[in-house]
Order: sequence, then structure tokens, then C-alpha cells
Amino acid sequence: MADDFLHDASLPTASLTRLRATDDDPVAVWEEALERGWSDGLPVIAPTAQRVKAMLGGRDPQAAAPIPGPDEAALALAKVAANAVMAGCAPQYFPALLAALGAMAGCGMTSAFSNAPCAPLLVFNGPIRRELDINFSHEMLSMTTRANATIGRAVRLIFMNLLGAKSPRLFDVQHGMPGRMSMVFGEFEEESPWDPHSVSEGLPRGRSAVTVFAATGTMPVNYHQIPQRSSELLLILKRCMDYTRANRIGPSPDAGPPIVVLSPKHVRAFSIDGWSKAQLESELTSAVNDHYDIELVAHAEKIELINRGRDPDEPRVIPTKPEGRVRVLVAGGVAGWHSLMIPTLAWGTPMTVSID
Amino acid sequence: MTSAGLLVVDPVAHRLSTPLPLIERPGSPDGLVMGLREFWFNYDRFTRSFEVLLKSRYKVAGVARVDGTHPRTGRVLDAWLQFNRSVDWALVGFGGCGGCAPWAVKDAVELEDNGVPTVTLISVDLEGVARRTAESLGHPQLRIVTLPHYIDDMSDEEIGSLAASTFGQIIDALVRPIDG
Repeated sequence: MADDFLHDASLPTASLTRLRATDDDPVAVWEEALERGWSDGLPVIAPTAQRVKAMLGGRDPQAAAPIPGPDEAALALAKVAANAVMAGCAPQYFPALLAALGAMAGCGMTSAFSNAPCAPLLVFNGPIRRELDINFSHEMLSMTTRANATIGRAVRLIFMNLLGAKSPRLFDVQHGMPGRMSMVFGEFEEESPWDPHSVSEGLPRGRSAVTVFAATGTMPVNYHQIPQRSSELLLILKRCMDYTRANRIGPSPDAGPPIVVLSPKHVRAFSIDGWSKAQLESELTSAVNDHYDIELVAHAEKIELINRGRDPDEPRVIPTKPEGRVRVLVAGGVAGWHSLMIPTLAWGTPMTVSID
Repeated sequence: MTSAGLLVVDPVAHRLSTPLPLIERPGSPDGLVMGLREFWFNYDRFTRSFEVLLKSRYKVAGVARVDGTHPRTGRVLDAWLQFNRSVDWALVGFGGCGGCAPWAVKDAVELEDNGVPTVTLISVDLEGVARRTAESLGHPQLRIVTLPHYIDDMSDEEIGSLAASTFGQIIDALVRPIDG
């Protein structure tokens, strides 16, 4: 018997459908989800009306989701909840997921996750990290906790099933990347001498928040040394940014400013030597925006191409290299000698939103 | 006794928009002015080969060419609008990248909406992107023919062979009735 909480199952924005599989056979549910194109390759939890209702937590199933669907059509919240159920989210994760979706819609990055080799990286601040057990220490990016693994996975399934981001309808995601499955961590605020990222972005201390970045990979930065010298670590970090500088040489550069995730050990080195986060971000930003002065034949060809549609009397458009501020976060295990550089895509602007 | 299958909330968003009708197809290219919307490195070699084949088999009333670069402003835009008005059908191409494929589709849709039947040539690897664009513009039935992705570095002979091997498919896409 259908659960009538959807009010009107014939409404096009939310609907019920019957599987061949029963709940007694989770493998059959998984295989049918694969067959229907609903799955990202991993087993899914069947989004029964009962489970979707629990995920909604009293919200109107027909309310508009915080992210628009294809052609800007409104998406029913019930469908977002269905994908969260499939991902394995607990109902208490739903507000965090909704906030992340709202941030994506607000920062101009939704197209990036269909048309670029990047992953939506979600970084959490505030009490929600502990409330939901979002990992911000060892293995934080290995997706070994339910919250880290499933909140990001829900985003993945939503993009696939609700926004059409799946092969063969993708472009420029030649190789994909593992973070597209899920890429979630929290800041280790308790080990940081500086303001949490959300506070730096203007939110009050103690407010739960999520920031969305378009991440294109992760690169461990090794400085294994006692005593720690911030000058040496800074040199190493700057040289690691050569990846981004080099990736901006081409005629259509899309490399955004990297995120630097300092380990607790490494942030202590900077703090002890009197560095503030703002100072370090400025230093690293100057380094990464010191573009290589290399002229390719392709540059002139690109300028000619993008101006070919313009009236010849109009000023020519000259493409510029993407720039932006390097953001420094603090996270990762206390014991260990690696920080992390996360290159990003220059599509949209990272956005931090509070979680209600 | 077999258990009834699970009733679940459909997790997929289905498009709600009603497709717009494609313009009526001509019965044949005979007596028509062909338009060639050209964009992509070395794609003009393909269109020249196609033009030779078309003229060898049909009475072609004329051929007009226009550049497919976007965005268009001023006199370049004027030339595009004039192209829309002056051709009886158009071969639109080449959608060889994630920008070019959607732009080719947009141009084809604009031509269709202006009463010009089209066939759009898209890289086989970008057909999904092209069809997604066509759907979002209300034309899921847009006539698309795929070509190999690497036409930009094919030899002249390979291009000639490609034009010959796809000629029938392109003409079929042009003349096949809408419900066919």
C-alpha cells in the first residue's frame, strides 16, 4: 500500500515507482538500481516512501529543492531526499546536504560538476562536525565515516539523477576523479590557532557551516622535520603551487587558486613564527598568481578565434588567466608530516553557508 | 508466493517541457539552396567534399556559407541572420568540443525555429552533450549525425572517404519525415 504522504502521487514533481526487487534482497535492489541508471556503481538503499519521509524530517515533500533542476525547473524536495536515502545518509544529515546544495546553486559551480574534471569538495565548520561525526583528522578524505562518505555521495547521486550529470551526457570529464564519489571533511578547529574558515568568511564563531569548492585533486605536501621551520615549509608550499602556475600556461586556462590544508603540526610552525592566516594566504596567493611568462602560438590563435564572431570595429576580447585567493584551512591527523594542496577549478566562487 | 516489489520514490528528475515541433522536412535536396554553417579546424574540407557529392547527385540551387563562431555581434550577427533568411536547409557543424557542440545545436535550433530544416554534425563522443542541449532547447528530435572526433587531423583522403560514407545518412536525416 502506497504511503500517501506525497499527497498526490500523480504529481510530476514527485512520484512513486515499483521495483521488481523487494527489500529482503538488497543485492536485487542494487542490481535493479544499476539497471535503471540510479546508482553510482555502489549498492543503494531503496528510497521507500517511509525512508524518504524520515529523511525529510517533516519538510514538505513538494517544496522546491535548494538547487534547480534541468532547464531551471524546480525539483521536489522528496527527490533530493530519495537520493539521500539511496546514498545511505542518516536523516540528521539532511540539513547539511541541503545547505551544501544551496551553496552550489549560489556559487555558480553546478555546471562544473557536469562539464569539468572536478569534484564538489564540502568542508564543514562548527558543531555539526561532531554532531554528525564528520571526520576532520586521520583518513578524513578516505571517506571512512558514514557522514563523510554518504553526504558527498548524496551530492553525487543528485547530480546524476536530478541534474543529468552522467555519461554520455558529460563533457570534459575525460578521466573523472575519485572525489566525484564523495569528497567531504571538516576543519580541525580545535587544533588551529586561527579562525575557522567559516569565521573568515563572515559567519559567527560557533555557527555550523559548509563551504563548497571545485576540487581537482589532492597532493600531499611533505615536510618531515624537527625543528619545523616555517620559512622552509613556505618554500615547499610555494613550489607545490607550480602545478597551478603551469596549468595556466595554455590558451584556455581553468586552474583556480589551490586550497592549502595545513596539518596541525604544520600550522603550529607558522603560528609560532608569528604568521596569521591572512598573511599566509596573501603570500601564497602572490606566489600562485606569479604567472609564467610563456607565449604559445595557441594564445594568438585563441584570441583570433574568440573574436571572430565580433564586429571588426568592436574592441577585441583578450582572455586573462584565472586568479583568486588561496585559502588556508587546518585539518588532518595531529601526528604526521604532511599537509595537503588541493588544486581547484576556476569556475564559480567558493561559497560558505550556514546550516540551519 | 511472490512478494510485491518495493514501492519507492522515483529519484530521477524527468523533463516536463513539451517538445517543440521540428520544421517540415523537404522531400529532397533538389532545387534547394544549401546552407553550410562551418566551425571547427579543417571542417571546411568535409563540407567541400560533401558539396561536391551533393552537386553530383542533385540539382543544387545554391550554396551559402556562414561562420559558426559565438558570440556574434554587429556585422557578423547580420551575416548570420541573412544566412537564416537565404537558405532552404542547413548542414550545421562541427560540434567537436563541449562549447562547440552546444553552440552548433543552438544554431540549428535557431534555424529550425526560423523555418530552416537542419542536420547537425557532432563528434561521436559528444552526442550526449548535444542531445542534452537540444532537449533543453525544446528540440529533442533535432536531427543529429555523428562524425569521428578526430576530423581536424584527418588526411584529405580520409575526409573525402568520410564524406562519402556519411552522405546517405546526412541526406536521410534531412528528408526523413518527422514521424519517421
